[in-house]
Amino acid sequence: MSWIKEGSLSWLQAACVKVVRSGQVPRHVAFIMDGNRRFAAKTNVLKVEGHSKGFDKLAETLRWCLDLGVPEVTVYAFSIENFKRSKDEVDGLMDLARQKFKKLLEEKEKLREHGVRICVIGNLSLVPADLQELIKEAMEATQSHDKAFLNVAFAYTAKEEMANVIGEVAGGVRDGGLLGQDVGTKLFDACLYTRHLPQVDLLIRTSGEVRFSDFMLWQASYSCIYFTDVLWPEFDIWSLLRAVLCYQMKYPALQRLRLKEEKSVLAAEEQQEARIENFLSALNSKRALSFL
Amino acid sequence: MDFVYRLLLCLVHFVYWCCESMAFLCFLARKKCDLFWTRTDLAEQITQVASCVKQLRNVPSHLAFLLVEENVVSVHDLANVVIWSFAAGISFITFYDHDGKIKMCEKKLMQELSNKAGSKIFNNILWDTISSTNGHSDISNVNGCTNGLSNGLSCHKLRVNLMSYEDGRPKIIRAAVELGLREKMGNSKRQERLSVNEADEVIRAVYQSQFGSMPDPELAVWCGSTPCLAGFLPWHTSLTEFLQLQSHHGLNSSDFLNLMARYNKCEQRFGK
Repeated sequence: MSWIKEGSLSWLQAACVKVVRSGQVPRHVAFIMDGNRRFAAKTNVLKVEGHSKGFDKLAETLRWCLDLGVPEVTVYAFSIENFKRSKDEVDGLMDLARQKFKKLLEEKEKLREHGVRICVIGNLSLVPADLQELIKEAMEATQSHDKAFLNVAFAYTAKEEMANVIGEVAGGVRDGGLLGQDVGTKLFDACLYTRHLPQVDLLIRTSGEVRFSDFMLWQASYSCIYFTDVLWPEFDIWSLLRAVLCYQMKYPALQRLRLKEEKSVLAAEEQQEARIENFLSALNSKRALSFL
Repeated sequence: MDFVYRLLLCLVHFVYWCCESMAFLCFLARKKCDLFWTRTDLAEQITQVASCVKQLRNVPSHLAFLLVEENVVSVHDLANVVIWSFAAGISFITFYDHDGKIKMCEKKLMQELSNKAGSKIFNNILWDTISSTNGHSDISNVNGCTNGLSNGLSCHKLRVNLMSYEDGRPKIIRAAVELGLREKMGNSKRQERLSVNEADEVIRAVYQSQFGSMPDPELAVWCGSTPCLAGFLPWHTSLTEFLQLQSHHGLNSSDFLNLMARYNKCEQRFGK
């Protein structure tokens, strides 16, 4: 199964996509693709088949996002916590990943045609060495593409990502490369695995669960959160359009919140300047008095 | 053709807005009816909550209310939530809004609680250290609770935390700087990347002085129509269950119990 599924929309669905696309489209959508195993149980197939259907759905969703004009998509493919699953299931998922990345390398032309760049984020040192090589090849093969971006979170948790940044930044302060006042939100954003990506505008989680499960906790702080009961392999274009419509309706409020955060960051900088000015003013007064 | 699509989209948005407005009007109407028909007093509500939660398998030890884009803070309703949380045996309750409006109402909230809750509950409510050191009466464990409480309530402490934007990302950033400065002074050079457990220790130390040893919130309730975290505790919400309410205004004990019941249905798999 290809990474981008072609031509799966009816004329009505395609028309609705065009209608929604004429409004504010999120620049970065993140998906927690949950529900593959429940789908497998529901349809009496093996779990690995459920995961394979999940990948097929990913390919379809990527196509819809391209049609909608969403330039950046991030998907939560495999969490570090998922290593706790049975060995058979983990091995099955790693095999599926090997298959899909090999397929990606076979489809380089198609990805070039759509201008899709693949980036894998996570602690890849936890992944088998051969899969690491495939992932590296896949990223190198698509790194010059610039029309659309697919980020696959693999062996990823938000806490591991944030811990990595905290460790690196602390190291910078310890070694003198950074001063305490250099460290702010901008620096933190620039140190994340997702540093090249814009902030997440819309985060969608399927299967009815209403939590983040350690995914993009920093990046999704000001995102529109959309929880849906649909199992991931059953996610359809209508579900995606509903999520984007929700984002469009909440866009003014979300922008206000983003601006508030920017103002808070500026306010902290202004307060620092005000403290310095007050200190200097008091010092100058003290010196003027002692001179008299 | 683009103009036609845009027009159709405006129509769709209008219909969406109508549906949301109708839902909100129904919510307001329900609240008015509740106020008129169900005049349970606070003591009855406390008994009702205390007995209903005994039937639940799971009650969160840390409950959070996020006021997102709710411009007016209702101290009356927040005080009720604190009292119901105490009745439910919850140990930590956090109220969050981005701009710090709730923090500005802290005195009013304490006063409202003092008037409503009576000394037996009020004396078992802990507040964050900053307000305690600002000359407010020390309400932490004044009388203890050796004799238990009336209405069958369990004797425990409930810590109330009021948070805003500065308690989210800025505190994580502070943790990174403090770690760097400590390593510099201790002359230590960490060889490996910082583990999640080590980062967790460093971050919790930053929160400890103000908010005590608070566990991660198991349940967070969005109040308002904007489904957004608005900067709430990025580190602590990895496994938090999120539910949504139209507003924190006009909440009654049944709404609170409904949230507990919905939380009870959530099943954590922890990656497995």
